[in-house]
Amino acid sequence: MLIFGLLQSLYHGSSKRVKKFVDETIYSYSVLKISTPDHSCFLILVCFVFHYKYTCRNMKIRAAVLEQMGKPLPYSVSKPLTIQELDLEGPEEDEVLVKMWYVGLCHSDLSVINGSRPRPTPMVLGHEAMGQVLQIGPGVDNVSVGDLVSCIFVPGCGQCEGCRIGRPTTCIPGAEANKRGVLLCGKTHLFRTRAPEKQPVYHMGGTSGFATHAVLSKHSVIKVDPSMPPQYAALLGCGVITGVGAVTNSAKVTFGSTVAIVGLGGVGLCGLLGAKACGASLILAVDLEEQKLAKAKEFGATHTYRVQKKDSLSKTVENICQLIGPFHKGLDYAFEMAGNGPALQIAYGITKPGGTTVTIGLPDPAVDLNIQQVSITAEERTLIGSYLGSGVAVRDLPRYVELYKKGVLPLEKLVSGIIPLNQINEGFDMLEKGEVIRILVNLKDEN
Amino acid sequence: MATVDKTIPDHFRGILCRGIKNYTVEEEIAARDTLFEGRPKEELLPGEVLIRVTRCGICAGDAKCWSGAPMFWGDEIRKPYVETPVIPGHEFVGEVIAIGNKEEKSQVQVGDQVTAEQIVACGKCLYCRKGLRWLCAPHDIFGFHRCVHGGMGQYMRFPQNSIIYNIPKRVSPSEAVYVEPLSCGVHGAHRGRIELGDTVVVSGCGPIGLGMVAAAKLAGPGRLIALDCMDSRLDIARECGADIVLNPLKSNVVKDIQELTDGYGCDVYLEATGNPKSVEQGLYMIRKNGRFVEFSVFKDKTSVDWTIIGDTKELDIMGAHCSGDNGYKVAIDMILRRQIPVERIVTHELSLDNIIQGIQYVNEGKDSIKVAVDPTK
Repeated sequence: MLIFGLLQSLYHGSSKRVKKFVDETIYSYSVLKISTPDHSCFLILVCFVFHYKYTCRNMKIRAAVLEQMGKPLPYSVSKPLTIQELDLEGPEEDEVLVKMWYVGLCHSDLSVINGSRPRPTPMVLGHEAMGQVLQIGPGVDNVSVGDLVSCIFVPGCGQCEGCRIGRPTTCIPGAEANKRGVLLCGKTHLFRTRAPEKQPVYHMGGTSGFATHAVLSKHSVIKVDPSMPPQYAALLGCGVITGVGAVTNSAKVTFGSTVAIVGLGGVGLCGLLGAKACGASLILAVDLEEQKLAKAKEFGATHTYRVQKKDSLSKTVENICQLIGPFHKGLDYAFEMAGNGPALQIAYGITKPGGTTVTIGLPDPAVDLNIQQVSITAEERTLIGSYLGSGVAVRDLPRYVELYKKGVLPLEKLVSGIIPLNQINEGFDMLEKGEVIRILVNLKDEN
Repeated sequence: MATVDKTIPDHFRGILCRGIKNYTVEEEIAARDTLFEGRPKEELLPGEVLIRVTRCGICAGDAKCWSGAPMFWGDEIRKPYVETPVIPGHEFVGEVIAIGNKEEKSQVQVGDQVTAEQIVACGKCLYCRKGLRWLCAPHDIFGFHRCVHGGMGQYMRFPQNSIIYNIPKRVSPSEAVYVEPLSCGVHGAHRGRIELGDTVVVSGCGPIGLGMVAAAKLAGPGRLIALDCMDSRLDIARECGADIVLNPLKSNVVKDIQELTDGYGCDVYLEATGNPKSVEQGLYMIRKNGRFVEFSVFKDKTSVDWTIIGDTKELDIMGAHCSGDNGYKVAIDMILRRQIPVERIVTHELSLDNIIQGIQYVNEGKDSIKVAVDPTK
């Protein structure tokens, strides 16, 4: 009786998590007891072990952790990302545990590494990710264990004004969580094991994909058709939805229009594919580098222009307008997809009067908009900010998969190579130098 | 004064529409009375252009006009639209033989292959001022009003406010004659606001419908479905880019579309049959908040429970007329890039003598798709 009373008070005094754990253990026990009437103590032990192994126990994972922003190039030498063993908690309510398979290296990750997009540290980077669901917490109704999922780095909470009107990319709680480096629940589930006290490690974009496993909000994962090659499914959640979405959702480019893409990295090339898929009659690729323009031509650009750094903005704009010919006084749509001020100035400069300029890049927060204000009025210009392709991931990702299958979005052309986790710093060097479009980290084969 | 290399003869051969079922081949149409409205033909105004016509298409509208349709000849409600006697034809292509002097450099030169927009906008009415020139109130369309005689003759004059398009010569006249119908298909498809990945249905695979299929294809639909009651036309729709073709006489197409879309219905329905059954069918197969584009000219009235537009489905119903703002530009570009098999669509090219035969082909719509006359034959 005393022991029972002690246990009861222990139970009532314990945290919600422990209570939940105990409840579930007793439930499992009662289920088993129906089928095996004897050996009840043994059964309780079995349930305890079973539960411990698969629920509350902190999972040990390996992840690429960024300790400090702003380390110098080359990263193969300064090693800003170190592979560490971490504790991963959860999944709790409305969360899922995902075994990461393939995660892309994106310029947004690079921007955190070099400090131009400041985030709390230490942080596990990686947001352009896909993997397999291992476990789901209570309340998860959009995916099941075993599903292949793509990750979306702006979780749409489903309840704020933005989410309600079909604009989850403007989700306020989601943006807040990302800025603080936590999940939508408001906490981080990543911890350091060997610190004197439990030290939190922060999440990137609610994803933290450069890891063997991750816990994400259910709002951050979209089920993906398993017949889609997983390496290309990884690209859907960032490059594809951002690049293609800017063209088809944000700008709503109509067939027959003229389009320019300024900046032909991974996202820019996706934008190019999007413009081609939407039937643009003229697609101009603008970049500093020859090999990027050559790739753009392969992807379907009708015109290319190599920007000379020594040229003034007005000279660049004048040259481009001459290139596209006398019948076009600028382009119907111009997309800035490079992530810096000059790229947006060029995109704006080559847009026709009455035309639309779209910006998707995420430059350093200190960069201010540098556009001649009177021209916005005098030429009736439209400037659109496009985040995550203004997309509704649950609607857009399946469409992009269909278009991939039809050959309209040849995503295989975007993958330059696949590397193991321990080569990740070298991978970022290649990305920084512009030698590759998209490299993926293979986490599927990493235990 | 004109800067001319040559000019046109005083009389030329062409069709004259004098009344209902009264289209005759005239050997000696007086250029001065028709094309020049009584002016001496040497006094070409600045910006006017003289054309030697190489081909002119016969539109379903022309065929209905010949038959006596009230929209052209008037009834208790409508005033007559066509002014007789007039040379019909608004789907024309030809070669420039003279241009009226212009201070600024003309965009066309003598010898160019050109067409002009079927409508010559006044520039002054409400619609022109709103930038909707294809809805211009006076509505001077070539071939229906005497100030703008049409292309079913050896020569034409484009007035000063015509909008003229150069068609590179590597496009043959047999292909260029399809530019106007294709420009209408382009406008119809644009009105549908097709989004990448949409399920789009085009009902009716005549010259307009096939143009809509090819134009819709450019917008990157996830699935492009063409409907027609004739299997031969469905074959051509496939060549125009349709992913799936269905015959409403052979299957329950509303059910087919609902199955294809998990029960939601299609995103866009482009109606190009002029048949009331196709309208009903479209309203049933389109999803809520979908876009329904209506292009056709109807013979019979359409009757439907109107609740479906608002309370049931909150639909966007868009009418479409003529070529919109950039229909011609996109159409010429499509033909240049071989984005549509024009040779499968222009099925007949007849001499002017066979105009009635041509009109009958169009009215029957069985063995032909686009029928054109060749005034040079």
